[in-house]
Amino acid sequence: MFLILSIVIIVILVMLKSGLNLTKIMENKQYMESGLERIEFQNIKSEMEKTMQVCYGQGNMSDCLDDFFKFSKSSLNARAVDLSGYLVKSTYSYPETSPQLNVSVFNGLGAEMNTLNLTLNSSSQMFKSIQDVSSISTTFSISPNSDYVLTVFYNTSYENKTDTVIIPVSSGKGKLITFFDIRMVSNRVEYRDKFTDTVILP
Amino acid sequence: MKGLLKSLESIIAILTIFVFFVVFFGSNETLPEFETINWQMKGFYALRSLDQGNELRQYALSNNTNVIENELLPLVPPEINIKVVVCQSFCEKPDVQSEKIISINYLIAGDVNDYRPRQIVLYMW
Repeated sequence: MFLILSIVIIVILVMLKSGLNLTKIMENKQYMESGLERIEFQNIKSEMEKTMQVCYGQGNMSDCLDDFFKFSKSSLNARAVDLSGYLVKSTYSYPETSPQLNVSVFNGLGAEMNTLNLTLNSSSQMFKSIQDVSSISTTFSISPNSDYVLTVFYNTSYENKTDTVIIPVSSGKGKLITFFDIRMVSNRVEYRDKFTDTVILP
Repeated sequence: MKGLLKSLESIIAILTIFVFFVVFFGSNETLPEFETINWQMKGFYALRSLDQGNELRQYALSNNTNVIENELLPLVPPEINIKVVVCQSFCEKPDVQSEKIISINYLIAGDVNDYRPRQIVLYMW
């Protein structure tokens, strides 16, 4: 009688223990922690877009973006999280007799860009050895009321990548069109996003 | 004789349960801490809510941390103590004696026409 009762108690204990699955609980915790990192990544993304508004009419917006990227990277590095990526900033302004598109590329990939090829429609320019956390600038001739496609190709020691940015050029006020490709890597999770933002220049 | 057998059976049953309990539940597994992650989530959303109300940036840029703390208090669970630190690159840790202190960072680029990137660090314990 007592032996049967002890077996019943043991079965109940086994069922309780299997319901308390520690692995599952750990997975849930990691999921919650990665959710926390996701909202931090969203904070950086939205702040990069706001940087363009914050710097509006205050110096060089393109420099502000580069600086904010470095600031975010430094803040995350202090918590063993890495931020990398690159920014393509295209600016044009009117009225001008010979309008030009200024293109600036900031390398924050964490590695040297061995080759960078910028192609605006059929016009192409090539750059070599762009160090990490540095940028290059160049200009292309454009004409108003046309849509341009800027193709960016880069090559590093670990990847070859091509991205395209649509640049609608219209008469009137100039624009800053920024393409962001940013990624945040922690020991738990990696987030990456590409997005474009446009600001009408003052 | 029958009583002796019953006593022996009950002792064996108790021993069986005891041995099982020690073997099965004896391993030193500690449950993960969920409370602090919840605090971080709530802290972050509280900061974001303050930012969406256009209040956070001006207080942060003027380093008015007391006002930020007062604005945050109704937005975080009442049992949590908070301390806000606004810094640029190096952020000093507050002198708080607690084993369970956690923090969340909220980055801002500045305010309209005022580019001054800052970290707003919310400590909770």
